[in-house]
Formats: sequence, C-alpha cells, structure tokens
Amino acid sequence: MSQAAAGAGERSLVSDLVMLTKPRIISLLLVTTAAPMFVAGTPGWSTVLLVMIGGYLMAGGANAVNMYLDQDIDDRMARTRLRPIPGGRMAPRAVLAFGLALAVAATWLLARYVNVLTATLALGGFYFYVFIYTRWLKRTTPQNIVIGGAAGAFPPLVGWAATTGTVDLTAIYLFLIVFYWTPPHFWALALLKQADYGRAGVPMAPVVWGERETMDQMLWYTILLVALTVIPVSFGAFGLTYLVAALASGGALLWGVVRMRRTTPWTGPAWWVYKYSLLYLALLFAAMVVDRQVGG
Amino acid sequence: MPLLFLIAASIALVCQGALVYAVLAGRAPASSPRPGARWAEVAWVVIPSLLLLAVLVATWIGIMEPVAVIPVAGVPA
Repeated sequence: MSQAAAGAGERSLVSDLVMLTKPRIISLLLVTTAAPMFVAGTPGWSTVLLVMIGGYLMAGGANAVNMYLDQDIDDRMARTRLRPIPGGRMAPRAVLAFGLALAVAATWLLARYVNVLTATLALGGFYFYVFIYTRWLKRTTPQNIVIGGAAGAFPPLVGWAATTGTVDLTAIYLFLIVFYWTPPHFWALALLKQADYGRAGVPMAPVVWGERETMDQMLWYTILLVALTVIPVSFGAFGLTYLVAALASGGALLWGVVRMRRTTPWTGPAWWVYKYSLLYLALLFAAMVVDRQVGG
Repeated sequence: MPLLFLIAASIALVCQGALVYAVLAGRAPASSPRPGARWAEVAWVVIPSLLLLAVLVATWIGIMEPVAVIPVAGVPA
C-alpha cells in the first residue's frame, strides 16, 4: 500500500469514528449542557471544558452503541445507509467496543474531575438512550420519541449538577423543556422521512397514526412547551429578558407548526419546523444565560 | 407571579389532557393489535402526565410557601 493510500485509510477511519458519535446532534446537546452551568452559577472554565469533553464522550458513546443496535434497520433507510456498519467500513463489534469505551471514559472523567452526581446523570442519559429508547421503545411504540426524549433531556441536569452538585426545581424545568421540545422537533423529521421508517418497520408516529394526527399532537406539544417555558419566571428563576425571548421564540415555533398543518404540500413548512426548532432550543437556553448573567 | 403560573400550568394541563385523550379515544393507536399494546400506549402517555402534574403541584406549593420573616430587635415583624 502506498503512503498516500495508507493516509487516506487513516483519515477515513477517523472520519468514521467521528461519524459514529453523530457530532451534529451532540452540538445541540452540548448547548443544553453548557447553558445550565451558567444559569446555575459561575463555573470555572476548566469545569466547563471537562463537562463538555465528558458530555461529548458520553453522548458519542451512546450514539455509537445505537448504531450497533440499529445496524439491521440502518441498511434499509436512505438516511442511515452510509453509516460505517451498513457501509461495510467497520465491524459491528468494533463499533460496540468503541461506544462502550467512550462511555467508560466519560464516566471516569466526570466522576473524577467534576462530581459523582454529574457522572451518574450523564450515565443515566446513556442508559436511557441505549436501553429504554433504542433497545425497547423505538421498535415497539409510536410513543418512542416522547419517552425516548427523556434521554436528550438529561444534559441540562448534567450541566446543573456540575455547577451546583445538586438538582433543583429550575433544573427539573430545564429537563421538562427539552423533554417536551423533542416530539414536535423530531416528528417534523419523521413526517418527512416516514417512507424510510415505514420500510424499516420502525413505528414512528406518522407511520402508525398518519400525518394529520401527528401534526395535531405536534401542535399540543408545542403549546405545552411554550407554556412550560414561562413557568420558571413565575417562581423567580428568570426575569423579563428571558420571558420576552421565550414568548417570542416560542411563538415563532407555534406559528411554524400551525402553518405546517394548514399548508399543502406541508413538506416545506415541516423542514422549517425541524430546522427552526433546533435554533429555538439554542436561543431559549442562550436567553436563560443572558437573563441570569446580565440581569432580567 | 402566581397568576402567570396558573395560566401557564392550566394551558400545560389542558394540552397534556388532549394528548391522553387522543390515545384513549383511539386516534393515536398502538403499532400492534396485541391487547397489551393498547394499555402500554396508555401507560406511555399517562406516566409523563402524572410526573408533569407532580412537578406543577410542587411548583405551586413553592410559590405559595410563606416567606419566613426573621424578627429584628425593635422592628415589628
């Protein structure tokens, strides 16, 4: 093998290992981990860095194990066909070992250098994603995203615990916000990819309930979400700056879901809801930090 | 601020109620015709509802909790 070919092979392995961690998804998880750290107090930058590294490793490990467990259906969906296992570039056992190694490293790092509660909560998110969502609910119920959403809601608890060593009512509301944000966010994508999920036999809501009922439920979840985002203001966790941001950004999300329900074809508005919901969550958590650090 | 909580919590509970009703009414059915599957669907929507209710009740109790007044010498509490 030439040096150029060997170099290309190494680059390909590195890019496959990065792909196993699903870095684009993790970037938002890190926002919802970091922001609560600054809402809860004034953490040192070394703590923030350690939590970001630990959070990336834990979430990346969970995503790699997810790809190991879903290898049979990833091959049947266009969206996932090019992943390292269905693409034939990595052995399934190597992917599993990689994922578990990342989770072990993350647990050690967080427990040793941050605190045990932070490590426990991060590990809780890993177990929830791997066993409750991927292994159990994903293939058995259209409520998979609703309950599975709890896995993605662990990061705010992780960030909060890293700064304070505890979890309080405000942290629980941050958990609930991500939990109730997940269905409208993910079902927008599921609506667009429903043929893929149908082929793979994954009972996502649009496949089982149909488009109309899924959109109705997205609307209920979005209204519920916007209502929940203002409750922390009522017990003094945030002030006016956050309230205005929550209502304005939440109102835009609600408008997007309503527009999706009323438009034919709905695919364009559904893409808008999917993409905007990502921005919405980041904006909401940024507003929390600004409110706390600058003053509401 | 209790008013803001009451409005937001009421909206949240109405929405959660609508989500439970959709499952009970069969508009959001289970993916399998097995008899147990329907009850599992009901459980998956009822459990978060109960947890949400518990958090809202805890929040309300926290909001209504009287603030402790620390008597200061010479100043009527």
